[in-house]
Amino acid sequence: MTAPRILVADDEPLLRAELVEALERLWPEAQIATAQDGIEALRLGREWMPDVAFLDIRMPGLDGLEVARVFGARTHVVFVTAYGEHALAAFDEGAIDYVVKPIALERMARAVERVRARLASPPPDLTHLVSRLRPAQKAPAWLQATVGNTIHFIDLADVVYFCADAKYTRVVTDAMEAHIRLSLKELADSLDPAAFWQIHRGYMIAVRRIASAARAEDGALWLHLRGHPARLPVSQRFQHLFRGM
Amino acid sequence: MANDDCARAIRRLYGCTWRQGLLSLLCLALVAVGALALGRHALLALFGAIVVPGFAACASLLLAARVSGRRLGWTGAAVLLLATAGAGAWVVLPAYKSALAAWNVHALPDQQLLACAFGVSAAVLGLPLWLARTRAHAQQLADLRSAALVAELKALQAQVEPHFLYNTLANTRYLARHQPPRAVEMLEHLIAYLHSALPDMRSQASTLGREFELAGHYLALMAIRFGERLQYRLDCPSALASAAMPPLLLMTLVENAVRHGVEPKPGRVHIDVTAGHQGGVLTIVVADDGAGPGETALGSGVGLRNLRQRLQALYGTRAGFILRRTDAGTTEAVLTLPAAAAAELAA
Repeated sequence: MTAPRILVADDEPLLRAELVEALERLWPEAQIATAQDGIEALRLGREWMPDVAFLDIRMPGLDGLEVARVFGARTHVVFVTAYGEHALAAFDEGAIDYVVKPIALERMARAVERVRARLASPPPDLTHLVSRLRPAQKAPAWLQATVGNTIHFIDLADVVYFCADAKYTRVVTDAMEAHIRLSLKELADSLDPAAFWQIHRGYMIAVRRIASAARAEDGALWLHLRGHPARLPVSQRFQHLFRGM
Repeated sequence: MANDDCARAIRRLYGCTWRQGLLSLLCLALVAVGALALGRHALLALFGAIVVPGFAACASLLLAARVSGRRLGWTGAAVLLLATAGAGAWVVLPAYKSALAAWNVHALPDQQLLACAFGVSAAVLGLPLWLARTRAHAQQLADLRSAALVAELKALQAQVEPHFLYNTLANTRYLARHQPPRAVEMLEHLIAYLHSALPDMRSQASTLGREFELAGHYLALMAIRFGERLQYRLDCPSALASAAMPPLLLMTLVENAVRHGVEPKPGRVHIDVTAGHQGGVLTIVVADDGAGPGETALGSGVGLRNLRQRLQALYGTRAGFILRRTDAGTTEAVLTLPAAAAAELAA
């Protein structure tokens, strides 16, 4: 049998060296190659065809989960993860193996033993597991908007209202106005519906900045804002939000 | 907030609840009946002349405030209250005189009566209002301070993450086996970093020089961990080294640059930390040519939101923070602090 090929991918050089050192001790006959980011790992995976890959989950370029998904049925993967970063322990170790950094030698020995035992059989399909490992999307807290050539980061807590503007959306705060590369519809879908109300095809307002709603003589409903001079229209479709006013 | 306090204070002049109000009225009625029964008409009239205008003043003020829907300011309330009390005394004067004439009792001279009514109103209405105002201000100040402390605490608790410590120590362990002098160097940076980053330093104000030093230790640690990938430069003009500034604001920005600039980007990243001073404003810039925020228009990091809250609690609107991506592909975090106010904080 030819010597097994092991790929070690970690972006911190000393930790990578430590992993290699541990593997050389635990698996002396193996050939080892290293990658310093996800892209290099992917290239080596394609060109060098490793049997086993120890992948750091957090890597620049492409993270370990993504690399594992691409490796698919060719390579046995052992994840290397920082303490408390991913809920790997929740999964059956038979399907997905991992070591926690800083690595403990006996834990490493166990992982090596297990992966050696599995080398003869094809690796399990990780696609499903990997997608479940992705951390859940957190509620957005800020947005990126451009003024001229500069991108600004705006805290959602500072937003007074959004206004549809051709393909993009204009965001208005007390201090500035800027453009976001999302449509009002896309924004409305990703923001907290309790914090931002769409009141019109062209407007979405921060609820906490609504001062009052008043009916004009022609029956149209207008919003007055707290601490901001703008007056925004409420279209028929969204007037139910202000029922009783 | 203060304005509501004011209305509440006026309401308290009456006795807060309906029950208390009724009890007060009952007491007044008893006094009146007693005076009538004893035939002390002059006393009763004087009593009425003094008390009625003050009560009328309070009532009309509260009513006016409710009807117009506007809130009362402290100064406005005091002036209006005294003016209405004076005017009330003036209006009550003829009634007082005619009542006394009807009872055939000798009246006090006009000036004396007016002065008496006005003086009592001023003392009875003005003093509690003034007291309430002092108390409300103290409360507001205390609220602000505790908000600042809470924000401070939150910022500090977020500082030393377990996985930063674990990864750093794992690096040190490897160096200890292979390059002991570098391991010692790394431990020294770690000790200096922990010394300033752990929460027992919470109450101390810091200086720009000290914050740069802390950032320097952190970046030195990170440069050992990331190797060639991380380059950095710190430039704190020596004239500014002693400028006072709150602790760990700069750290937050530097950590942010490492986490969102260096970590996600393959290849070299340069971090530049600079400070400048112009026209009473201290400007601190942390720039990196790293990954930047990518194409996502929305992000969920709360570190910068904490930083903003802390600035707000410490300086109100006098401090500023912006994060921007420039044309050249550099992400810049720009912090502006009022230099004079920073000195206040140190005091």
